[in-house]
Parts: sequence; C-alpha cells; structure tokens
Amino acid sequence: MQDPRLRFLSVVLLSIAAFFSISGAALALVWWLLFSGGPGLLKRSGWPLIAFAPLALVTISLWLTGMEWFSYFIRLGVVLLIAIYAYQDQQSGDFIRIAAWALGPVKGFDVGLAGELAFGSLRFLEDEVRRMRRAFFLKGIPFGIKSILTISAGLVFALIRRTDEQADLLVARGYTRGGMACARFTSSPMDLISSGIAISFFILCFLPFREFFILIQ
Amino acid sequence: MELAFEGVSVTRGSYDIRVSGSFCQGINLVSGRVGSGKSTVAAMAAGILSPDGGSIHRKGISTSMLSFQFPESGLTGSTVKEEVYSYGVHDADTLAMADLSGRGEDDPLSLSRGELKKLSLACVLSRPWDLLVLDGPFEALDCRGKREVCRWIEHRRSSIVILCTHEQHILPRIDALWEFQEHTLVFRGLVPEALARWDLAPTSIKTLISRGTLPFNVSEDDIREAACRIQG
Repeated sequence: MQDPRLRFLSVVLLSIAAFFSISGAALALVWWLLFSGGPGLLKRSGWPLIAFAPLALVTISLWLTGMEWFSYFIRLGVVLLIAIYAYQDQQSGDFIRIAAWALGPVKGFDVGLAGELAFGSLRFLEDEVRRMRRAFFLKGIPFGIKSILTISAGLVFALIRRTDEQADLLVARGYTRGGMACARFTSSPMDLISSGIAISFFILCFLPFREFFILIQ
Repeated sequence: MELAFEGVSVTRGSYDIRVSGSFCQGINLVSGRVGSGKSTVAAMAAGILSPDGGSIHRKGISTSMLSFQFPESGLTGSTVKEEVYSYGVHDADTLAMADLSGRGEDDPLSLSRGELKKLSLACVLSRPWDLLVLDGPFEALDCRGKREVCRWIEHRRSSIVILCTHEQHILPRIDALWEFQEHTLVFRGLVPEALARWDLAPTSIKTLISRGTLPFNVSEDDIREAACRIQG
C-alpha cells in the first residue's frame, strides 16, 4: 500500500476482527491473501516467522491443559500474519508522517520519532542476524539455534550501543522536543479498494447476523 | 586455480553490474570509482551473493575467505580472542600482528575502526586460502598500517587474491589489473603492460607514463624507482 494511513487503518481493523472471532480471523486471512502478497511476502524475509514460536508454545500448553486451543491458535496466528505484513510493508518515515498528520507537528513528531526508532531497531536486529549468518558461513561455522543463543547477548549490547549513538545524534542535531514533518500522502485506487474491503470485513465481523435472521423468521 | 565469471550480471536499481573474465593465481587489483560495483564483485567472488545472470565457476578452489570493507560485518566473537579463534588462527601471533597483544579479552566493538580493520585483516591473512577476496582493505588505516597490510598481501601471491580498492597511493605489487568502466569490470591485462591502459591510474603513474617511463609495478618503491629513471 502506498498510503501508510490506509495501511495502518486496515491493519488495526483486521487485527481487532481476527482477535475477536474465528469468522473475523477467516475474513482477515482472506484479506491477507488477496492484498498483502501473502506467502510471497513471507519468502522475502522469513525471520519475522519467529513470532510464531511463542504462539505455538502457548497453543501446546492450552491443548495439554484441555482448554480451547484451536480458536486461540487461528485467531492469534492471523493477527501475527497481519502484523508481519505491517512490518514488511512499512517504509522508513511512515511513523512520523502518520503521527504528525494525526497528532500535529509537536506531539505527533515525538510519537512518530519514537515509533521510527523502535522500527529502526527491529530492522537493525534483522540486518545484524543476516550479517552474522554471512560471517558464520564465510568462516565455515554452522549457524543454528546454539549460535543464535551465543550471539543474542552481543545483539542486545549492539542495540544499546546504537541507541546511545542515536541519542547523541539527536542532541548533536539540536533536537529537544517536537519538530516539523511535512507529511504528503498518495493513495492508489488499489489502496482505496483494499482498505475499503478491510473496513467492510471489520463491520461484517461485528454485525449481529444471527439476530437479523431470527427477526426475518 | 581459477575463478571464472561468465557473463555475470547483477541488477542494482537502475543499472547492471557486469563481469566477464577469469581471476588467476596472483594479486588481482580491481580498481574503480566509489559505487562502481567493487563490493558486489567481492561478494560474488566470495560466494555470498548470487548473480542475477551468468555463472561463476571455481576451478581448483577449496578454501576461500572474504575480508569485508566494514570490519564489523565479519564479527562473530564477543571478545577479541574469540574473534581470532573464529578464523582458526593462533591468537598470540595474530594479536601481535594486529598490535593488540594483551587485549584478547576486550570487546571487538570497543576497538577503534582502524584497530578492528587491522585485526580482521590480520586474522584473514594469517591463514593460507586458495581464494582471498579483500574488499577495501586499506580503509580506516593510517599510512603505516596500509604499508604493513601491503607486505602481508604480497606474501599471499600463491593464492588468487582479489584486491578491490580505490586506494591510489599505497598499494602492494600486483600481477593483474582490472578496472570498472562505469559498472562493467574490464580486464586491463598483466602488469606492467596493463598500467598504460589504466584509465583511473593514480596521477603519479599517469605522469610517469606521460614522460615516457612505465613503472614496473604500482607499489611506492616501483613509483619511486621509475621517477629516478626519469631523473637519470
């Protein structure tokens, strides 16, 4: 999607719909398959799939304790797919543009900047893992779960160091509070169609259909 | 041993980087402007980047290593000593080479960029490799460091060494010269004859050639010797 506002709106509505019911999750999954690029998007970078690990653990715990695991897995699984789409489709600067548009230049800029920094950190971690995989490959060292555990401490320290440098950079550039983001947006016809369908799915998911049919009878 | 690029191309935004030709035993200098495609060729030669078109053939090459332009890119250890071990080399000798004796327990990222660069080069150049790709080996080093690295590289002449750099002044003696024309890598030939065909040659070499003297090679000593020949 070209317009980050419509993407954000679609993602929020579909996540709520998927979380609340199986039918909402099914509709959100259809939207994901039709408009997000679906499985092709996951092929671009598979590492966000790691988010499914805690979901699988909780689902197994629910199954072992005899609780409702199927609905939980489907609903949260679709929420994760939508979240992965939001992450993969996000462009640098989107947070500041949306926040400055919604909340104004001062508060919006601060909120957007915080979002950009957080998003940048995720991208940084992704790049670091990719870089390390390459370095392990070159040195002929197998890269597996054990290696990830070994490097995770280094990743945390690298992230802290990066945050420190970013804070210095903001100070050096004279940042104190607020800023000015001249947000411009372009919406393609496909943006309008996909977000329109997301809104329809959200409404459909919360419409009391059962009562409607009882009334007809 | 030979590393052959057959009609290789990689798309980078609006342009393609193209390489055809074979890198043979000895030191192959790949020169080119910033952004011409040197690092892309280095990555393809080391096998960490697949070309979009064409093919790369490795003949008689069983071990290879790439020294990254940014030394942080090759880090896997959380201490300097671990980093040295990760290359399978002896820590004391390598640390001494990198002027880091006694700093084995330090975090590699606490080193300066120059120190880290020298450490990674010392690790890479401490071991024999069939193919050794050095991407920007002189960056972040001072003149003393560059001269030291030149000496280390010259000892690796029995391998295929691909030296990608835009350094113009402090270079090791090389065997073959390659040059980027726009984004196409062109083989200029063997040294010294190739020097006369080197478009982006350092000013010192161009001046010597314009005065009718072809240096024997590109090292500082060779340039000095050629200059002495002019003076008679």
